[in-house]
Amino acid sequence: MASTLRLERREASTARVPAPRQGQALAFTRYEKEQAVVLNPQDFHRLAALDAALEQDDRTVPSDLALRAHAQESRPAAPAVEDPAQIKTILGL
Amino acid sequence: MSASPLAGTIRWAVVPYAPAAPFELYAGTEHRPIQAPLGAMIERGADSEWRFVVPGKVRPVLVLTEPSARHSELLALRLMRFTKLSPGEQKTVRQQQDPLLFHLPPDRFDLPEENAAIVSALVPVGESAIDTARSLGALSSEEMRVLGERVIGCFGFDTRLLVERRIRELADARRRK
Repeated sequence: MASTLRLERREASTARVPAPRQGQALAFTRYEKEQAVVLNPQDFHRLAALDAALEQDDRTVPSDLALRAHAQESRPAAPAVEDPAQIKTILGL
Repeated sequence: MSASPLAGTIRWAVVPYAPAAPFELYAGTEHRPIQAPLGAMIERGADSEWRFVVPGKVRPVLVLTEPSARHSELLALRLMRFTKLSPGEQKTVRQQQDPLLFHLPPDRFDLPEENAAIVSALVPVGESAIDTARSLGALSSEEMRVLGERVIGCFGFDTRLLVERRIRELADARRRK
């Protein structure tokens, strides 16, 4: 399941941090499993912006007119025809 | 199964309204329908099949999907007649300025009057309840694309994973070139 990227800032002096160039991603592995990937900040912010754009809630807010139209057409506007003779007459049965 | 495509066409169909309280159950020809409280049906009647007395209407609908093979049901949108709108509202809809009301130009559709499809009024319709023999007009594939986007926007479907997958596929295809 996708989740939004959250940036946590740490001082570079707290670890030996490599400086990947733009377009380069450095994957650090442990027992062949990727443990961390270090990106160039520009690449990271570009990906984060894309991620945020995908996360954006694009739900359309209905107008009063659209709400009214939905309500009008989703409920019976007139009493149902229930008289057998009238049903036969209307349908020519 | 109909031979011609149904998706994107306007057709006459039998469309019941969604069941709503007070619920009435058909109880044979000798009795009036029986009103059934929702709580009682949930607690004691969940294993039973009922015949609900539900009002319905024969109306034109805009078909969105082809029938699913297994259930022979399709999804459609209810329409709204223009006579129910003020002149100002009619103008708004004609200019496609309301994303949830998709205008159907009267010169392209054989309808009794000018209409708009209500994007939020999605209804399931049985294939046998629709006039598959006669189309009253059809939307273009570009119009269906616009309508599809509006339906997704209306219901807030989360298409993020679909979009991500498509981006990855495009990136892979570009890399292979």
